[in-house]
Amino acid sequence: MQLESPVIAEQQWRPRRWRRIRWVVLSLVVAGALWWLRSPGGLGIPSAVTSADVERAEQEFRRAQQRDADAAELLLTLAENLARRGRVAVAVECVERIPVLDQRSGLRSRLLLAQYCLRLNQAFRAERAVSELLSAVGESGVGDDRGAAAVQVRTARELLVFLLSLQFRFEERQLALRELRQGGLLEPLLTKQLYFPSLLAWRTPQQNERLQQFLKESPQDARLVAAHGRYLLGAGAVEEARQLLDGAVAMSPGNLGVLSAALECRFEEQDLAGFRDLLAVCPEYAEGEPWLLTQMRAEAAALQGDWSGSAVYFEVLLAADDTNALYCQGLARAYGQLGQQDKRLQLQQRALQLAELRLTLGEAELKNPGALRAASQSALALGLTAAAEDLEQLAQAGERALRSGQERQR
Amino acid sequence: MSEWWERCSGSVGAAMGAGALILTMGCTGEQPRGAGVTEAAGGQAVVQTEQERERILRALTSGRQSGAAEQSGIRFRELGKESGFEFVRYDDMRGQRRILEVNGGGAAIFDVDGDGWLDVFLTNGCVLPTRLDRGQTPGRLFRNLHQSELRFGDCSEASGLLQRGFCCGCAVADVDHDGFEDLYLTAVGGNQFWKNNGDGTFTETATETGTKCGLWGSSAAFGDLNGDGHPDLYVANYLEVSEEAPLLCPEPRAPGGYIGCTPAMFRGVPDAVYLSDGAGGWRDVSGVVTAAFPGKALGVVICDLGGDRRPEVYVANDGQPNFLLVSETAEDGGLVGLRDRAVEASAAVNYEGFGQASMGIAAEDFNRDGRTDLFLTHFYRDTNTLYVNRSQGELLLFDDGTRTSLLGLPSLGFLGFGVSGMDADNDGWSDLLVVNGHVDDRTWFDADQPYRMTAQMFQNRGDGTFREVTGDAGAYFGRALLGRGLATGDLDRDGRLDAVVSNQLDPSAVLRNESDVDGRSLVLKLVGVGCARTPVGVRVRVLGVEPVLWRQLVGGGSYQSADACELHLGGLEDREYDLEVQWPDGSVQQISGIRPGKWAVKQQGAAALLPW
Repeated sequence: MQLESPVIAEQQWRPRRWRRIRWVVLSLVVAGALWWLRSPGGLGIPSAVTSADVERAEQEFRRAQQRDADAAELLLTLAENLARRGRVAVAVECVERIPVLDQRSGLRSRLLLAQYCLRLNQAFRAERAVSELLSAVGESGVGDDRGAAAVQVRTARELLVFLLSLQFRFEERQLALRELRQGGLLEPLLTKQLYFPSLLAWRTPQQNERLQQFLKESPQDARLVAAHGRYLLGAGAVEEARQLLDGAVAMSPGNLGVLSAALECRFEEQDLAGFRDLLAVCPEYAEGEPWLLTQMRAEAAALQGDWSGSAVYFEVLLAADDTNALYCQGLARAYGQLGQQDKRLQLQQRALQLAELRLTLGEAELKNPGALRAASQSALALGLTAAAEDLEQLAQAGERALRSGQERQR
Repeated sequence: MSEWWERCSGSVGAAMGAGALILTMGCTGEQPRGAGVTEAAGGQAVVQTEQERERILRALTSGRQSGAAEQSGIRFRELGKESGFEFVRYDDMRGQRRILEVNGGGAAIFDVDGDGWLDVFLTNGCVLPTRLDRGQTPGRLFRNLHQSELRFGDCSEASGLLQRGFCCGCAVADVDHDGFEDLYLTAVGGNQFWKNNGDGTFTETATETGTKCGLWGSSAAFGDLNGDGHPDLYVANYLEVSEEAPLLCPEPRAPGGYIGCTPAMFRGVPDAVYLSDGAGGWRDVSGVVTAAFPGKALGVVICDLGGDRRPEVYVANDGQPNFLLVSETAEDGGLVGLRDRAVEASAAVNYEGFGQASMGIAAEDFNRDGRTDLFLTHFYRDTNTLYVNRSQGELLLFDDGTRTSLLGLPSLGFLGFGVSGMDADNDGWSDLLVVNGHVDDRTWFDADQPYRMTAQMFQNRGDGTFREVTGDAGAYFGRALLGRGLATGDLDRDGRLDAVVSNQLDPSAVLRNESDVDGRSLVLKLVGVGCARTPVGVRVRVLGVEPVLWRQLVGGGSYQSADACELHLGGLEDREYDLEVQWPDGSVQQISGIRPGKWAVKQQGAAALLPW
């Protein structure tokens, strides 16, 4: 047998010893990390949260669920408690720490985050939270309770619709509304927004007031600034509108939504040189660009006497929103110039029908089933079958509600 | 620190706090320019390259250059009480904000006594319901005393023109060919037809002529609709309302507890058409209008829009598509129908495709291309609309020229009623005077939405565009009021068109035109012989002037008001001109060697103008 040299043995033991120490340390680190990850501190607790807050949240959760909360659940409970007590900013910090892909709390965290951000007038963060929620839904397994997840998704989409309406981002709103509709019949306002995106008043003083609240919080948000500019343009405050819209473009020259609002301002005030120059630096037409930009292209073509070009753009627009009376009128004008009088008349008749439908739409609410039915019939006359069906269903729901209200009264 | 950084810092901080754990919060929003990261704009399409962005930023600086505003020369002075003109309309506004109360009244400028000087009548309201009216608030007739300064005498009682009831609008024409202009008044529940007796007095004849109508009449207009040489009558009716049990809209938060109900809550009613036999008889043929009714009519004008010497009727509806009614006649010339051709003429709704809340109408050739254009006043936060006439041959066709004329944006903050396409500065181009005022005081919930509003003046630049010159048009244009009716005429016979405004709550006003004018003018009163004596549709063209300088006598127009039945031709030099007169019956006359002066009469068939 060959005896080991003590030196050699020592040399061999040292690495082994170090290896063992490293294993021990590593095990401790892993164990610590695992413990840390399972603790509230694993996701971090905002410094403004006190230990009493944490204790209260833990107890509350335990009482309600008969088990201990995991880190995310504890943060959610904390956030809800804090928000109830008016500490919304800290509540935001809590929910933001929860990973959106967290199986149990991810979706709810983003929904709460969006709602809290709205309370803090932070439109951008609210929209981002909703987007994260909706993206996460696509990931498999997110949301352990499918029913609850569906409700959260629906609420999130409704929030998104609100935010997009406020910023006049109608083409995006249309996508959100379509997805919402896949989940079932929508309430009357959303139904009207879905099927008649351009027939409802979209520049109201109340809307502007909310916009102002958001802007106060985020004065550098180009999309909010652009929306304010469009509101002012609609109110006739051209100078102020242009200043804001140009400022918005400077903040975010890449955003075509903002850019098209600046173009619209030049077009409305008939600064045709400015309009032409700004349009010249816009990228070529691409599918999916903001409707307003396509509309400006249609108008630019008309200004140049390129009626075929104008017609093509208006046709694209009508394919996206066939209830837009302006698109009908624009296309009618182009057809008229191209000598296609029959087509012109057809489109003008449609514009007239839409103008009449618009009057009914304003009154179409659940408490007024008659107006809902009249709108449904007008929609049918326009060939808008899906809209007609939904409005008819709403009319029936309104009638049922009225009947049950009357029975309760009796 | 940028907002973007703040947005992202939450995740970075969390990552640092968690050691190796990086939370996937992401930062999906817009980043500031130059961040060097692809922009994702929440679903909005984006420009990707820095170079493209730089080009966009450079393009922002091109375009509009604002120059120093030049004086327009247009100036009006409101006459004071010393003029003898003093009138405050009564609308029974006692806090319930009934829809009947808000439309106000109108004004008529016409020569009551045939002395060549234009007099003024203003309609008045009364206590509601009208059965309670005891005649305390009659309309007022002010006789022009033709002194060196404009002076008026209130001759309402002496004339017997003691209009009672709740009257709204007025229309003027010599309907019985006796040389004196008669007055038709629209009202709530029964219109009035005041025959001018020729001796300074009037007799009410609505019952015996069958022209009371009985609905809520707004504007009215005379014009020969069936080509028989007699002026027929079109009455624009508004809504179906009850005086006894009015629809009220309570709103606890509003001062007084009520807000104005919107017209959308009421049904429209059909307009009325009466054909004259020229001898004092009238026939109700309202049923001849097809496919248009019911509307919610507030304004009406009768004039030749197609250039074929046949009058069309254009009706301004509130919140509904407007009508363009074309006469259809039988072989014997009898009127068999009025067909609505507004849609095919692109004049029913504006370019945005909305049936606007149309109130007043001005029918003038604003671009001097020989065709009569239409300008309409509209609601707050909606533009007034200019329909530019592009008709050719048989085709009646209009383009919405609101944007290109620059008349749209300045009207968004106003709610317009009366309007006149007057050539205020005698340069030959029709300018625009608009009187404004809200129908409901909404300041309690929207401080930006004024109740009283200033009138506006727009000067025609002669290149298809207008510029607002309200600021230097006189002190009256700085006063916020509730303007409703507006009528124009040369009251002081100085060759410049003056104006009378019927206001609500505040005194009505006579605005004397004191504009600095270079051009001279000719004011003509046309007297038909083979056609209606008030020859609506007659055209006078000044020969040898380009672009074409002409005027057409229109029936109705503005809002609930009647302009003087005269033609004002401005933009002339101090030299002789030849005129061509195209009478509604098809006859054409030329008159040579006419030198611009103040005013004159042209009788059909007579070789020369008759100085007054």
